[in-house]
Amino acid sequence: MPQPLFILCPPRSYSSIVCAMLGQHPQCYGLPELNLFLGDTLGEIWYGTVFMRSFGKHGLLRTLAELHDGEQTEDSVIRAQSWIETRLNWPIAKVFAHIQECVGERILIDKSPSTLFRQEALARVMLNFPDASLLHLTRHPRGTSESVIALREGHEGLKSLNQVLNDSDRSDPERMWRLSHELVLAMTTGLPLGRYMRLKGEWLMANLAVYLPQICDWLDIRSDADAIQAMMHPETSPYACPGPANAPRGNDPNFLENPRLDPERLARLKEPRLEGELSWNPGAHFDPRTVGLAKRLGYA
Amino acid sequence: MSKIITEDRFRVIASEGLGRVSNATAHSMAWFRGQLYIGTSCGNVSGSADTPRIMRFHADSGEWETVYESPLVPVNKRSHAPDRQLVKHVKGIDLDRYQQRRGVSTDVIPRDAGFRSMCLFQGRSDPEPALYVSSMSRYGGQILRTLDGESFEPVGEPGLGNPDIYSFRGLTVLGDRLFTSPAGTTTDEWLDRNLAPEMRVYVTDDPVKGTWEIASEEGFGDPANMAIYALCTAHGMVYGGTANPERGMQIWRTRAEGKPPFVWEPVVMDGAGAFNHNLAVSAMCEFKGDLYIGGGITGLGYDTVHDIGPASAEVIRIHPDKSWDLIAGRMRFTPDGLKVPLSLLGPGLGDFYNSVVWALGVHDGAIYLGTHQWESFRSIEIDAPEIVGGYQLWASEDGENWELVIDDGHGNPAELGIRTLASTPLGLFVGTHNHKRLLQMIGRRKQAKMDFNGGFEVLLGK
Repeated sequence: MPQPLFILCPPRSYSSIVCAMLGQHPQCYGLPELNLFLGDTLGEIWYGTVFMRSFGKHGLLRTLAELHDGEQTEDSVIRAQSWIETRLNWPIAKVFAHIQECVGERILIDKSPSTLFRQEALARVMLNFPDASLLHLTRHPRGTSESVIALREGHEGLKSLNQVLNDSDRSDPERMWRLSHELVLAMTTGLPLGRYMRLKGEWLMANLAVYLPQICDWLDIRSDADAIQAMMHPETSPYACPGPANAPRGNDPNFLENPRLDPERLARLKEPRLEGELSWNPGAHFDPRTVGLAKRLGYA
Repeated sequence: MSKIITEDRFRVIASEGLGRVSNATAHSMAWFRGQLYIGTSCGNVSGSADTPRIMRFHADSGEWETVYESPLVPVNKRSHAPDRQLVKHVKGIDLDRYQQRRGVSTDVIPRDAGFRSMCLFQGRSDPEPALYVSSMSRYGGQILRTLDGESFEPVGEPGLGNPDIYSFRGLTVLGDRLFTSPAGTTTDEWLDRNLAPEMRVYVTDDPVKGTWEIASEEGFGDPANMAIYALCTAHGMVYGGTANPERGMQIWRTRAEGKPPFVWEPVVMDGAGAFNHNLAVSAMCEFKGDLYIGGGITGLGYDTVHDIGPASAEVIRIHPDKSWDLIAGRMRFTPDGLKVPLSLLGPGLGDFYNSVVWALGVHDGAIYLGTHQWESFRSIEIDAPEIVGGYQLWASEDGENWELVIDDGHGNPAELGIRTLASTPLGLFVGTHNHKRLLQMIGRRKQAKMDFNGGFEVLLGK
């Protein structure tokens, strides 16, 4: 079986659309957010966190419904739930292997931002998948932070979840951005040539014709016109729409509502600047540590 | 049969700074009138015992002759202004106290800290090709000239009119013109050996008259370019490499047509896609029709002033059409395509401690690369039972398959870097940099055993 690809980034870093695009390649399979690495066993993740008791579980439910029954309906989600509840002792690697078996010889692509919530989650990725490909996707800290704020404001569910989480590391979007990227950089130091790759999301989204073939070459999959064309239609993913009422999410709500690429808008993408007041924190500016890290990642 | 000179064919022809162990670096070399000349330097000139020299090698006897010594000048405020990079590296160590222990409190001091660059050039007022040498000086770097290899005279004013310019680097010839760029800033309050007050390239066709013209826009038009770090000719053009702490090094080039300032075009930007971890271009040379570029972060792979790093050196290669290859470094996506290191060597040529590619040179059909490798500092920091590390010399016949020729500073972990390479009819000369004094300062607190030599070495391989 091929090695999976894990997209590593904090929330609001273009990962939903990137995962869906890459997942539409004939040799790949893009997953919704499985959030599998929050524990060692299925039981640990299923009952272990507020996040997973809320919409964090929707991605896995939708995946199992789709792969087991070929459809995502309330009934198939209920059956997926039952399947999970009888396998709570399964190690996460076994769950992943089951999904891989259902998908066959295609590269599984996972983009769960929860992988960067805690160091141990990313450590589980490295431990369980020592040969997996890791794509570190970045976005300007100002763009990321403003998008996080806008999403929280626009979705009641997220607002209330944040109140429950009461996690200062993640409630401050700048701090979440910095800690997430620092974690990836620290954990990927010294990996063998080509196992870890980093890409500015803005570069990718504004120049799909330049970067999609490069990603294919890196993953050693087809980069012909048909394959690239398939990747230009993330909306054809079975997960690129709201799920049934008992598992509606599993991905970024904005992506679920509008999964199509908008080439005109993407061509106009402009990177914001590091200097200047923070719109979500009037009077404040980026922490020097954020600025230093952003410059390292190619932002000005 | 391989053209690469193996380690067993190198012999040390100069050691311990040729009698001045404080002369830590064989900074520049040139083959002139059938003999090798080297310019030495001292990291911290404190008195006459540290005076840097220009020396000539007599191959028949194996002896060295001093042909020029920096003159002594009165001490002033600039003489001991702290090195702002070094001060941060050795935080907690009283540098002044260290100087006093060495019995240094004279009224005079060598004018120059060393001699950074050498090249042969025949300007309009030169009756024959002359050897030009740039000095490093807290009183303003100068350019010296000799016709006979024995009499060296300054041409032009200190700092070419700006006494805050510490030095000039990359003396480079294209056609009938000589190019250089300022390196380092000297003030009454601090010294920076690398970042200059002017980020320009200068050009002249008659250095004897001291008339230099501005050859480039300031920082090639980008205010984030803090210095033009290296100059080199290739493809019939002058290439300039920058240091840029905001977005990483840049490479520009010009055909130098018409009157200066010339039109320069960008070749590589954004640290070749590695951003500011490819902080500066540190060495360049043309080999088999392509330009090879070595980069990195000076010092110990960490720029203390701009808080960049730690990072390891990379090597890229530029073709005449401006396309480029990654030779050694981190595999990455770039606007110019997927870059896989063709040598299959990662950053630092696979060694994290190779922070800078300090020297590149071509000899007898092979390209050689010398690194700055700082593992010995790390050894002291972690109280390792033995101090290990030292420069590496690499070589390649095709620019893609590289072999390690000399490792671990040729047996001396204080030999941290290869500063200069010179291809001559006698063979390949290798000039080194020795950091024993700084290692001693740091290691003294830990009683680290340091029974190795100080002072630069020169090796000859053939």
